[in-house]
Amino acid sequence: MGDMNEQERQLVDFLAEMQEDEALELAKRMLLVEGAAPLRVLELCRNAMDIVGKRFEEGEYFLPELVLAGEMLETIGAIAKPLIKHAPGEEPKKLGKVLIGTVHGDLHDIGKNIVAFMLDINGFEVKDIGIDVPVSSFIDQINTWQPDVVGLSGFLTLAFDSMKETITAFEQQGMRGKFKVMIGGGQIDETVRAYTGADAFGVNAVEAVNLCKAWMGEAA
Amino acid sequence: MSDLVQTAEAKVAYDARWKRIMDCVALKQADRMPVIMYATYWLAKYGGISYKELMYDYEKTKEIAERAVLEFEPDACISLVGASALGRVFEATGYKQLQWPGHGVGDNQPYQYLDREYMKADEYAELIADPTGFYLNKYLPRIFGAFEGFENFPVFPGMFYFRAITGLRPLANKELRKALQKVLDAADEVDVYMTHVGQWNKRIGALGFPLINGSASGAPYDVLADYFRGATGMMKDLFRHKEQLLEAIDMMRRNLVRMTIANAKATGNPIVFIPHPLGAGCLHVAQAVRNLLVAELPPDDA
Repeated sequence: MGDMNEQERQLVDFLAEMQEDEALELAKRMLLVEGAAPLRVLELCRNAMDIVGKRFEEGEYFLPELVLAGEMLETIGAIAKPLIKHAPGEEPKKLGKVLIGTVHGDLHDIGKNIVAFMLDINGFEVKDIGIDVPVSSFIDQINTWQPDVVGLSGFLTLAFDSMKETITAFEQQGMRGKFKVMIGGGQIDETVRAYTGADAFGVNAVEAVNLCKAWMGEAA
Repeated sequence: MSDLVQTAEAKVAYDARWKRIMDCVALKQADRMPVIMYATYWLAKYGGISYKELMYDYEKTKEIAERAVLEFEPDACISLVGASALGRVFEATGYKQLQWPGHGVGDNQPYQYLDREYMKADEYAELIADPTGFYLNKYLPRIFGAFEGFENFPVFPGMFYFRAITGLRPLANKELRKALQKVLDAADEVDVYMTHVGQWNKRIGALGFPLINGSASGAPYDVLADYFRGATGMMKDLFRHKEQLLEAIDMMRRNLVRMTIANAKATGNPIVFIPHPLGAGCLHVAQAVRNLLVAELPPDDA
């Protein structure tokens, strides 16, 4: 992004520095008053999120920054997206489809929501089917929506069994090889991954994005 | 389950166990590391009953909990019955912050906390200005079905002279009266529950086993984050409402300290359980809180 002008760099800085009021005011002015290209503004948002993600990985930023960044981008996205005018057949290409939900017996959703948001802003088409999702709902959604990746979320230890049960059901349905399965949650590690039969696990939203990008053949 | 008088032998065992714990508290070398029993739903597995029965059957839960303590002989335990047999009080109060066996989750699944915004971001000023009023008119009806109707409970601060008389009129409101009755009925169940818990605690002490804590409290930030604003709401408040959050923490701290001291005195047990789930248990949030809030506190408070 070396070709950013002063104003564009300012927007990226405001977003990356968590200056919400300033960032939203500037983004609105650019989009609604000065007629900036909405796709360009969204690209600047992604650049800012790259910085936020990097700071998160380096231990400088934590969950609250990810959540606030998510809010800022959602607000800007809601203004920018209706302004985008696509020529027929020129809709932006998505990197892949990710189906995500919290496994049955578990009602936790904060981590899942952050993962869904991060995947969305990183160019994935995301379908979030909520919490306490029965095995049959995952299977129905997979059959109708044909995702590339299925993300199973869970925070409680009982989720280990629900994840294993869900993934075993994928095998029994003969669909296991058609998509990748990633699991995530506060206490997930390699032991849990091996127990459940998932392809990979992530301990935060940035890892989830990196996993999906790698599976889709994109540089993480 | 009858009352039991502590035998001389049980007293010796009790005192030895308590000394072991208090030596650790005093940073003295104890004869060995104390082992504390902290169990909730495990008791159901141990006793061969469902999680739901554990929560609803006072007598069975008391019997199983006593059996577990006698078999494993911990140096102390939490109030095992107090932490488990909560089904009837949850039901009587119409408690909304949890789903528990038979109420939202299966009969053999643990209860789960519903992380929601029980206080809105723009309500800090109201909470800080009049915590009691906020509890009565807003917070309690949001967390207990029994309190629905208390939205009209009279606001007393500011009342005086004739206004103090006319101000009572909301208490004639039928909805509020129904709610008052529900709360009184719920309090009866809480009394039953506390009586069972007290009996068990006393009996286990008579058998030679101290309770590791007599009461519980909370850390101000965690209380506000967990039980008022919800985790996501609070994460945003760290940026959007920092000054009000600091004020609310200060208010909550004063009230928690007052309540904690009173409860510890009432139980006669100096150890208070203060869970610290968001401040310390969740590294990510703890770091953010340090970065965003603690730097602003005077050194003594930080």
